Amino acid sequence: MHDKIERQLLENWPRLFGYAVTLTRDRDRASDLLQQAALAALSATSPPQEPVMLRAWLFKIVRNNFIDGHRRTIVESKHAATSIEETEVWGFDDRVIAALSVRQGLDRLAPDHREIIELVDIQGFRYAEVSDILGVPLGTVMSRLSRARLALLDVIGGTVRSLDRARRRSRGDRLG
Amino acid sequence: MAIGWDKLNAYVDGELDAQGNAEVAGALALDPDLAARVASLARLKACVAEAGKSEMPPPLRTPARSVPPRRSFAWAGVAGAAIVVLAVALMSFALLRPAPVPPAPARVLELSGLSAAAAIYDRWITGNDGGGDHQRPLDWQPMGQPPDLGEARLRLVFRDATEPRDRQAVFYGYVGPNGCRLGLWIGRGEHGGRTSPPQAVHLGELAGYVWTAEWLEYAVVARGMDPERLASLAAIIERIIERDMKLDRDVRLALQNAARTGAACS
Repeated sequence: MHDKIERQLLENWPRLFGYAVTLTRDRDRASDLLQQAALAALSATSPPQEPVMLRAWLFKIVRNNFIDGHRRTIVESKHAATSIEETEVWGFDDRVIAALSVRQGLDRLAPDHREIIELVDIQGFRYAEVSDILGVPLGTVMSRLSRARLALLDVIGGTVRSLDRARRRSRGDRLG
Repeated sequence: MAIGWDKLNAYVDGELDAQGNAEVAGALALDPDLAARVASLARLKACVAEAGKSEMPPPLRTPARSVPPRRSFAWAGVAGAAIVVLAVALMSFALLRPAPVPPAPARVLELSGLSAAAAIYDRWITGNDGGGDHQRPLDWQPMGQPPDLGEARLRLVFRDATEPRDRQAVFYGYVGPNGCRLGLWIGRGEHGGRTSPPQAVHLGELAGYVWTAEWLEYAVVARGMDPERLASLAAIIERIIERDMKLDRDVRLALQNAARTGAACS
């Protein structure tokens, strides 16, 4: 079993590191967190047998170690009341969605939003696996993810709008 | 029927059942606004995945397991008796102490070279190597010249010194006549000068061997290469490096044999 865990650790090492960075927002702390999690995984007495479950289990260990280390839970964002009505017309300009703006947008999201987007879109977990990793019901995963994406679109749109404003201001200064 | 935002997200994530998928697909065909939302979500998902391809991770430090010492035939009987005594002792100990404690790590195995080698190898085989000048002189060449693997019909065609960014390292790419690609990564070690023998490693579909010697760390990697051939080549490369790149008759023969070992690269 030790071999299986070690193989999974190796195969998922870059992804686990990405997740640890998302949790800690710091490369050095992420590195420490990951080493602790790896030792915890290798010392586990009853890990899951299935490789797919083993992978989700490793992410859960990283998360639990992070929570233990910080003696806190990942605070659920309270300001995430952004919603869209079905009757609203979708006016989002897809051209603002690009790797760079998305990366900047992710940095500005609430931790729980950033985390769930990371697990689904970057790590490729199914909703059921995310539910297990986070320890929340499936319905919560769905609603939290959809709110998180809306918040991300909002942040990206906001960034672009403020850039537009800056450009307009700069143009106005030159003209003035 | 109105399709909610949660359901659209689940649709884009492939989380709906057949009926749910059909429902959303039907609604999309009739509602351009809904289709625009799905397009935005799909684009967002793709960009997040792209943005997630991030930094080089630190090395994985795993507790290395000790290799059993080689026993001579004459000692086999004595060792067998000792094992029986030890087993009895362990059983008694286990009865007194029901919760076994895992052994403490004896030493640390550094595997950062594997991550670096994997990153460059992927760039190399996908042709996405940034269009760099791979012929210009390298700032750091730990061995003078890279190993000559010509006897194994492997030709040096690529080199790169960009991974990891914060460390002196170099990657050499070799190609065989049938498209086999073998990468050799050498980096300044972070292992405190310890020496460790080649160890088989896997990173996704990439297979390889990593080892350390005299303040340098090595990784030999390939994808789709016969495991036996890869093992032979790694052992021979270690030997060539150990002998300051000298190719004696034995090494040449070993290289020729390695080229004939196992199936063609897939």
